[in-house]
Amino acid sequence: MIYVRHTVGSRLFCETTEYEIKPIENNWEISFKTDQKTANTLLKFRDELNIFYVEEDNQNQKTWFYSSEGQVSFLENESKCVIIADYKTVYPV
Amino acid sequence: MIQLNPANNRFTAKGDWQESHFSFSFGPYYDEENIQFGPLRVLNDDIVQPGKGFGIHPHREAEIVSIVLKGQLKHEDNLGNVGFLEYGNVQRMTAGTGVLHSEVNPTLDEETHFLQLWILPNQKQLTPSYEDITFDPEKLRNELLPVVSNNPRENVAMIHQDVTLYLSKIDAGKEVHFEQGQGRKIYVFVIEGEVRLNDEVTLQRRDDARITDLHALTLQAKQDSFILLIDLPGGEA
Repeated sequence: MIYVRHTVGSRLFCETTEYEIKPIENNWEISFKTDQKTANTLLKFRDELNIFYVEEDNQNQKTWFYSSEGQVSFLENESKCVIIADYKTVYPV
Repeated sequence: MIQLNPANNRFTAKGDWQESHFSFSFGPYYDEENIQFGPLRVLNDDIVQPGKGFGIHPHREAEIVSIVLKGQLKHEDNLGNVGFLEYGNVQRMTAGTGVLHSEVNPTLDEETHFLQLWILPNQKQLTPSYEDITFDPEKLRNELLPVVSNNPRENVAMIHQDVTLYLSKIDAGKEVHFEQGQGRKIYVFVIEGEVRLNDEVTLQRRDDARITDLHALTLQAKQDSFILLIDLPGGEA
């Protein structure tokens, strides 16, 4: 499961079990299907997004990603949001 | 101009162990017209029940200031800092590129009351850091005592923004004065009591005032009062 939240107070923008996280050099490409309305919100807050990844069989830890340059895009024809994260850390919950 | 924001306009979030009042947009409360005042982005007035608190969670790109009003607050972070704060302490944490921390009420029998402010830093991707300072409560009496500033001094926490936070306890009938530079802003939050500003606007407990285009501010206490005043740069919001 991934969750995309606002950095200011952790407001939930979207959550999904259908996503892909791909390492690309020193970054991570995080992509998931979403609708235009949600994508517009993510684009509006592109500099203030935290992405959390929680494994189904390990709920005791979270992986936190963010994009320091707000690299968020929406591929309309695929209804897919793509975030290029340049920060990742894993922590216990 | 002095813009009064009454305490009852604040958003309240209540849980089993916590009650928070948000002066600016935060979490589930989002108001395009109330995002920030200059670089002041968050002022939360929090109450945490004994033995409870905020577990490990991340922050980034914010200067976070915590002021304990009552009880104790235990802070732990992934930088290795552990702090026990109570009235007389002020904590500043630079979240910068990212910090993980927890903040809990470590006591078994007393609520923790604290203010938490987030101030946008003057540059991004700062190295995370932590500091807590102790002030002398006697020095608040009818004086504006700086407790956080970008001009570091003894017993004043360093912040990465052109702001200074002052605390003051003003006796009933007494006044304190603040002079402001051109184009800058002033934020006043009444922690306790009742304060009249420039004989124009009266603030009650937990009201705030967002002040622009004003060179001289007089704060007159109508009853014994405890206030937070923030000197902020002009510009956005």
